[in-house]
Amino acid sequence: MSVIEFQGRTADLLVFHGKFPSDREQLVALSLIPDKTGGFLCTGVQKTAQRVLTTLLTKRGTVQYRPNDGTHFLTDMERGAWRTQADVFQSFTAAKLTLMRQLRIAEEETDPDDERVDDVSLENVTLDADSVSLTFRLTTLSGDDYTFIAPISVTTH
Amino acid sequence: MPIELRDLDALDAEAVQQNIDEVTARVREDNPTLYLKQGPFFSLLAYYHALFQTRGQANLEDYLNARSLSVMALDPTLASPELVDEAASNFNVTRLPGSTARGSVTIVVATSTSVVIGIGAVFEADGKRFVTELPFSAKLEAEQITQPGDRILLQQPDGNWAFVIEVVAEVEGEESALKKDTAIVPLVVPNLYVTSFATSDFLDGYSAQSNADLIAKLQTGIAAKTIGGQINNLALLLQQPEFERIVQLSCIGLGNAELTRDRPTIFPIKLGGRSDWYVRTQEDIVYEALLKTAVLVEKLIDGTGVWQMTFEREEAAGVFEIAKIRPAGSDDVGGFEILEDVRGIDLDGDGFIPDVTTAEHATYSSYQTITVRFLDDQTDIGALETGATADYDCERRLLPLIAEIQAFVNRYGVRSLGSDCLVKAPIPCFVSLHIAIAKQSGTADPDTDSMKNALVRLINGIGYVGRLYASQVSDVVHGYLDGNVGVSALDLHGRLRYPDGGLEYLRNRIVLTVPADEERMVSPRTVQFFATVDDISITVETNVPLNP
Repeated sequence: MSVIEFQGRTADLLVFHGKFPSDREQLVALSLIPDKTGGFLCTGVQKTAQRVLTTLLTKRGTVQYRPNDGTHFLTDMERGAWRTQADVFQSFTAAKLTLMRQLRIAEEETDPDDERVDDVSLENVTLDADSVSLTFRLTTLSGDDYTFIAPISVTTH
Repeated sequence: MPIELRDLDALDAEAVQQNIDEVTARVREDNPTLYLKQGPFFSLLAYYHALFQTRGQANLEDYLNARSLSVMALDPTLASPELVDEAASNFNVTRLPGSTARGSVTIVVATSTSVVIGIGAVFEADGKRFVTELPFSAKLEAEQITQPGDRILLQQPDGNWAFVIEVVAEVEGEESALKKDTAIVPLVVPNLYVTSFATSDFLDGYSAQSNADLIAKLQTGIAAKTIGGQINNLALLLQQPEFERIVQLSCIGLGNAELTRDRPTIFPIKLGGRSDWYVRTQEDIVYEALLKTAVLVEKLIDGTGVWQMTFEREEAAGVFEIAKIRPAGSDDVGGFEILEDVRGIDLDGDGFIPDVTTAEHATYSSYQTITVRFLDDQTDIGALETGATADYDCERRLLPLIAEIQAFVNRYGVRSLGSDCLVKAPIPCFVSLHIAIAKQSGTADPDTDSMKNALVRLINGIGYVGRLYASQVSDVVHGYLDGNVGVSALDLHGRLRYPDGGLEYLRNRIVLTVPADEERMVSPRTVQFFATVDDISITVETNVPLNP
């Protein structure tokens, strides 16, 4: 895949930093403008993965005047519903319907296939004392699969 | 200037969305490579820009509304009171503050034992609450009166003892007005308590003027404060602190059929140069108790006597009628039958006097005198000769300030040099209502006390339009009804007292209409509706079956 393939694409500010595409799972880190950089733009599947994460991790009802943005995924975490891995899977399954609906609303027929989501699945959950690592698999309409890990810190007080 | 910037969480959601659509469209046009449907650019750039843009637009709209009298007038409730105050102040119009009604309460107890009423003691009457502002202590001997709250206990003809205290309404507004003799009951009953009632009318309760009131006054603020057109006349009066509470004014002048003073000859020629001012100085009629001496003028065969009392000009200014005449000290609530109410005219005095030549023209003005003849069927007149005198309690029903306004407009520096002004209380139409309310069994009874107060405010607040619609009444009543409760019957009744003493009874279920009898000075431009809570009867019937 070369830079030429992304000419004419729309770009977004990169906030979930990782390497896309990759032949192995990626640990993504959240940062608007990393140190000693002027920030990064992203497009293609990286932008799509970021779109998935920002939508999934936005608590539904917290964006004023846009009550339908986001999902209840993190709300479940905050209210202490994540005690076991099964709880996290169950929470994701419940949030997925809302997530997919919002992703599809933002997509257009003319968007490139690797910027249109076919499916998102939660592959693995690692519960630590103060954090949760979530491994997602994103499948775009181009047929490619990408796996990335989103670490989420858990408030301990 | 108290324009507060809107909070970001107090914006119109639709306006926010419109601005989001606009900013994303404009940024896309300018930079088609930015992704703005979801994600960081959308959340950090488009969304917040739209939020601040919406707030800026709202602030600008608030500012423009604050500068625009026409916008304030369209919907006075939208503007903040501070903004309206500032705009009105440019026209020398200020908002009148609210005040609480206050009055005296006579408390009757069974013995002459000392009684104490604490500060903050609550009394209730007709659903209104009043409190004491002082601790009161009723004492038997005048020598014991040492504190502001000390009161003397006086023995009553029936053997009970009574003392008088002062109370003040808990809330501001006309709703707290109370009529003399209304039962007013303490929440904590004193020892050996018998009864308590309002010693006099509870007056001076006013609501703070609303934005709508203030904007309505703007016209008088702009108008020249001089005798001239109706607005000028009203502006002139409202500018005087003693007349700032005047509620309605109707001026009749050249060309108005109700003005008959300017046609003094048999020839149908109007001379002009005269105007009649019908001033409603306050919403509620004053019911004022008075001790008056009457003269026995006729001894009837059946042993009863016809007595006569006369009210001189100073006592008769703005008086509609005399009622409830009874022997001095009597607690008879009805009063004797009034046989005659004859109005006269008294133009004595220095200074300018308007051109008033007949008693009809002077009626309800400060130049009227009143002679009342009544039938006393209680006093033993066997040993009395005609000309004998006796004291009677009576009640004057009047609007205050009529004489004061007349004196003001008679002043050389104030009066028009081209016309005289005869100030009168409006011709009264005393309204009574009967309302039947039907409710389902199990439904709570409506708050009829509050309903009555609101209806009195409605009736007494009607301008010079000459009509009281049942729909207006119904609208007020429905504001106090919930669920399956409705008005099943409504009867409007009016007693119109002409300046010549004639009475006309009006009755209708749809609208009370003031007749147009201009030759007798009666028309919608001269008549006002008056009512008290006692004139409103509300019955609640439980006659609607429960739904299956």
